[in-house]
Amino acid sequence: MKRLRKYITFFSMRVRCELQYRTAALAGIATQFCWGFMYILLYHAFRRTDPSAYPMTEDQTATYIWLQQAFLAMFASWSMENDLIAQIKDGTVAYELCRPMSLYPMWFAKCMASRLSRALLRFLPILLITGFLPDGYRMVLPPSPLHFLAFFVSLVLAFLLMVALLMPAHIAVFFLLNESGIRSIFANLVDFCSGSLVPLPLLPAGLQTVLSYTPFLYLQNTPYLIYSGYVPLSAAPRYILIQCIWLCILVPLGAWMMKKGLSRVVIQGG
Amino acid sequence: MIYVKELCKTFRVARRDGGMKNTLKSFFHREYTEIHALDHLNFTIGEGEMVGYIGPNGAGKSSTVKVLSGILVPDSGICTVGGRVPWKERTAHVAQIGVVFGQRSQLWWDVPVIDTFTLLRDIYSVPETIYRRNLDELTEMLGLSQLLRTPTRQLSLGQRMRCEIAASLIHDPKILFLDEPTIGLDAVSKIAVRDFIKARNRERGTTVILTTHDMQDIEALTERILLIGRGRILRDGSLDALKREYMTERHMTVLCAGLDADTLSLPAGMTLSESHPDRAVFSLDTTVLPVSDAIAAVSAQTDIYDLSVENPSLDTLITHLYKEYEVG
Repeated sequence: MKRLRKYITFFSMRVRCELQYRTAALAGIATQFCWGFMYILLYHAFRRTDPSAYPMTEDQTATYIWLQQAFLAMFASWSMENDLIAQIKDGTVAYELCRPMSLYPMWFAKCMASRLSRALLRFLPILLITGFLPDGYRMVLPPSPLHFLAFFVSLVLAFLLMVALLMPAHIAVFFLLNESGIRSIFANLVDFCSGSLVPLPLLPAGLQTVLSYTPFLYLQNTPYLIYSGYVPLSAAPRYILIQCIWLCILVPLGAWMMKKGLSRVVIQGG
Repeated sequence: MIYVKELCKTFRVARRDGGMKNTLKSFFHREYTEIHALDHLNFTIGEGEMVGYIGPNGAGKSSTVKVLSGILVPDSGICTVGGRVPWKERTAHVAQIGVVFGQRSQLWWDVPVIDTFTLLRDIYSVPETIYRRNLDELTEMLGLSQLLRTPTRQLSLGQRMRCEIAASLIHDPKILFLDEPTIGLDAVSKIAVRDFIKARNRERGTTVILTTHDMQDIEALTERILLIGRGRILRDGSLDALKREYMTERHMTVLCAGLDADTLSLPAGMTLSESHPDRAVFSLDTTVLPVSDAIAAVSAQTDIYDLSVENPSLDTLITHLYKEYEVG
């Protein structure tokens, strides 16, 4: 517990920082409503053209989109921790290195905290309001409480997985000294492969098979499909297990990269 | 406490001339220059010592501090701090040290200063009672009571620096590294910071290593000076000894009834450097001529109304030193 305490303090600091930006949260909610409606209209148009070729129901589609919008901040692939990157670039990371804790868990906590705090301000209003929209646009309840439980577990794991994937992208800045390249590669790759650009069930079957061998399929796509019942409850444990396996691979990998990075890092500037 | 032997660190720097042609050329072929930031560095520092670490820009001061604080891994050589190798046992090592980088900030920008302190308390696992005691003491000595509740972004530089120093001491470090702690501060803040550092060293026996370009810092704080240039220690000794050796020249300004430069007879070691109708400035070499003899020589020839004797500034001394060692 004692060891955890610093992470908890860290986390609450980050939330407090984020809470100062109320306007940003309101603006974010508004944007996400607009995007959500646009997406739903788009997919409904697809579906009405040829319902037999469309894999999801209207309810499932709307629910997928709203969940995606509600938890956007947690899975936003384009948003990197700007203060971490600034620290590397201007050398303030020297201070972080003078702390008696490992940098990997500290950065992991920081990344989690800023994403979670942004999501905490946004997700409730979106989920509440979209629950009262007309048919076809409404966010529906999961088929059973068990579905919800499986969704929740999988959401937590998907979030950890997302952060574990982000870590190497941040660590790479130690070597590259500029994040813009890695940011755009990472964002596009993750967005496309994890279903935040197009829901994964809409992709060709072959591509979905390929993606099932990558961690990307097990990001936000997995909990959302479990929630809506598109992935049957019986298959949920298998998905959750795979999420755990990917975490066990990516976290040590990131920590190792960090160690390598630090052993040859040069703190920038005087 | 601190033991450094034959420490080396080399950086590779890509260099090219300006202009498009050279930029394109460097795309295919880069020329690297090796910079020996630390070149067989040797020194030891005892417990409770307060040492001024000086040298021109780019001499290797910051690199040394980075190695000592476990951030930078040297290429070769031995370095132990409190029996530990900083970069090998980083976590255990940094719990014992406090660092202030004058040009960077460790305080969280958006939240009140006290929030950063609380975070540091938890990061260093400082027990609550000790944290309270340290915080009260630091608050009183550095005059932080109003500042703690202010967001960092709204502090002035002097206020922020006082908070930065306090932040580095929350966990009772045995060694304090100060990298230009008074840079950009006004006179009042500088003196407050110096007094505090001095008191801390005296009362807690904290070992202090201070790098600075501000010679008043050195004069006010340290007995011992390490002069570094081109990655080597050029001089290790007390400030007084340096002064005795290099500051042998005095300027004596005399306000008097009138002096005739042509008929003036001066003893050896004394020259007239400026002459005005009612004022004259002499240069004295104190190794040859005691100041009292110089005064006697002048007063024998005219009536002195007022007189002042000045040391050349410490900055002059340092410039002299840098020149002598051909650094800077």
